[in-house]
Amino acid sequence: MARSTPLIVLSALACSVGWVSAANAEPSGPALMCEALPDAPLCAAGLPQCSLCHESTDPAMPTWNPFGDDLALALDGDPFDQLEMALAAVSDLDSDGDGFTNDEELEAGTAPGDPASAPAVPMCPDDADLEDLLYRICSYDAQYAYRRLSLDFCGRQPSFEAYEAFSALGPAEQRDAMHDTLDTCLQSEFWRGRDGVLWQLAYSKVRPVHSLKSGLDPSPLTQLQIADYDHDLTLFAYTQIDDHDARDVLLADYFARLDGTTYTAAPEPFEDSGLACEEDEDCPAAEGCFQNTCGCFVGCTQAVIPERRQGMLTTRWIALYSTMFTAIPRNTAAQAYRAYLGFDIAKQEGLYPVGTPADYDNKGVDEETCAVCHSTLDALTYPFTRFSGFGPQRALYFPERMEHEFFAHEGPDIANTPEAGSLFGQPVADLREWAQVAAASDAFARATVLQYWELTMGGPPSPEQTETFATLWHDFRDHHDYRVQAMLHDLIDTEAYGAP
Amino acid sequence: MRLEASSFLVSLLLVACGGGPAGASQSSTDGAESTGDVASDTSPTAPGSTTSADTDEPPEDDSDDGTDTSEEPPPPPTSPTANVHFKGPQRLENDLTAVLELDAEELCTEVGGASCTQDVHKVALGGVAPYDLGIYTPAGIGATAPIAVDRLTLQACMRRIDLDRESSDPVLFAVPQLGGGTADIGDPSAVAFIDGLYTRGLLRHPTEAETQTLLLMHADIAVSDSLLPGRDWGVATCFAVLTTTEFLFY
Repeated sequence: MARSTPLIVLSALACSVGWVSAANAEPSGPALMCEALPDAPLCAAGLPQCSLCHESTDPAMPTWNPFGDDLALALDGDPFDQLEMALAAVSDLDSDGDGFTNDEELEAGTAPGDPASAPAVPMCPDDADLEDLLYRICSYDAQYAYRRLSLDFCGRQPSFEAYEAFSALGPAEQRDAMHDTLDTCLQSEFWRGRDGVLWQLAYSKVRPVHSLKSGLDPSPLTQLQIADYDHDLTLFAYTQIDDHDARDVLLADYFARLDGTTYTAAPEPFEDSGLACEEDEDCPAAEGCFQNTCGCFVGCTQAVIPERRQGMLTTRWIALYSTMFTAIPRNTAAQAYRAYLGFDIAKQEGLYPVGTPADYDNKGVDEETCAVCHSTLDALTYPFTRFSGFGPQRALYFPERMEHEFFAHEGPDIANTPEAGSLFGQPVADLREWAQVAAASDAFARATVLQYWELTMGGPPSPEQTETFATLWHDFRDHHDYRVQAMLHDLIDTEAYGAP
Repeated sequence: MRLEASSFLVSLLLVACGGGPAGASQSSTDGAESTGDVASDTSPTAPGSTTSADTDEPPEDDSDDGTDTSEEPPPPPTSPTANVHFKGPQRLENDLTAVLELDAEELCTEVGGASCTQDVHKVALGGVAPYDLGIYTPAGIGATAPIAVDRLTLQACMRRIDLDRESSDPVLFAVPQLGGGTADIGDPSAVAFIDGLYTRGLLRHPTEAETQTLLLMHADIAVSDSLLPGRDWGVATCFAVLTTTEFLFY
């Protein structure tokens, strides 16, 4: 697409992905906006939605809201990378006529193109009104925070006696007691046990389905016992506890096991004594599974060779449940992008278009309307293509997979599908590089901390909490060395957590 | 048990329909946040609660002619952050078992023995059901959550009060029974019962107004069709305290 392309098409495609010459990687509108305004609340928990400027991002007929219209006028046909200048030009305007300038709205995290969205100034009552309250609203209240953290992390409120004893302490002792309580709670069954809070955080990432489970408490239908997702749930929880590195959700090459509230890790699958052989048991063996003495496939957890294992990305469950029979497993890649980096491509989040996607599997992804997302998604997916789902090399790394598994079904171009792809517009040679780039990204640190923020706060950061949240995930990356437990100790000290 | 439960529900209905004190007339059908606010509504110390009386005096009915001439007290200050969370099934189960000293299995069951918190009402109470239903994240507090809370708490309270009535070493309810199945609410054990519910459930002592409100409820139940008004008062008091916003949310 030439530079003289009308702005109306250019910027619509740039928001959604689509405009890119084959040779160029073009960042999206939301990404450019966050480069220009890195501290804006809308950028704190990810990238803003296209609806910040658009009413529609349909490449054939894009439309803008009043803020988008003003930005388009300010750009006046300039390339989209002049966005920062255009933002400065419209900062003092009140595009949506709600009484707040665009700059005020962007600083407050509200939508400058939507008159129904306007900054609300939190109003705290006068001190005199607060005398009789149980808790000190509008500022950190240790008693409130103590009860809250007991419920959040231990799953129960403190006893009256413990609460009274805590209340009698001085501020410094209260703070110590809170952190001691947090440490105790993080060891609890409620937090780290089977189906505890950490497992619950993993559910939406792993998406377990009992009717397909092998291992302990398997599917009643033997032929449907494809993999044991307990491994995935356990591995996730393992990376979130004690002094473990949360990046291992993407980098681990080991196995984790849970016994009560105790997690252990080992380089190879555990032989599970709880999976004893039953009399007259007759069932087929399966590659990549641990077999009991009857030869039944139990503990089907991770079949990939150690040097190709990438934490939660390459487990047997993910291979068979997400990739299944697919040549280019976009579903697997999109789920990883959503679960660990916080970007849902279905919502046009995290778009970093890398040229017009080649249509290796003859699905029409190079059509203009499809390329909007697939320019990011397909490049994101190529590194996953060498990991088999169902097939001769079930749930294994198979470098020749595209040549040997799919030629007849997907057309002649499928064999040309590269293993190299791109993440955040950065080239990656294979899934190992993909995972390394992902684990080192701001998106990973932000998404990891965001899940705990939402768990404890009940939702994403409000505009006035944005700075606190940004500090938290920056510190998680820069000072806590990706240790969740250390981050949680900082979290409970924030006013966002402890102010009723 | 079924007869006693029916009797109690009739009593509760009478109270809820206006026969009881002001706080007790709160309906519990319009959302979890309004489930039985008899206790917290009279508390001067609960931020964000919809206080109907914040003095230590018992509530008075000065509306003989049907017109309330008293001046409405100003609403209490509210937090601008609304940093409040519903406990959900597991935390509710944990706290109810601790407050009432019941095993989780004793707390509440439906349809012949299925756990209210771990099975029947788990999703309604904001829990997840990943393995069989594919509900990986809480669906939020739905329209049936208040009903589930009511059923859970009512069963749990009935269990505790009935166990205490039969025990020589009651955990909470040690109020002497009088003729006609009434309770001797003049006995110090009645106040101790209320205080025990508050300290265990709300981590504080009740105000004088809260105590009096709950004691006065006995008179309403005594003139209802209840067969065991003393026992039903105990259940209603337990139910009232443990369905306050102060207990259910944090």
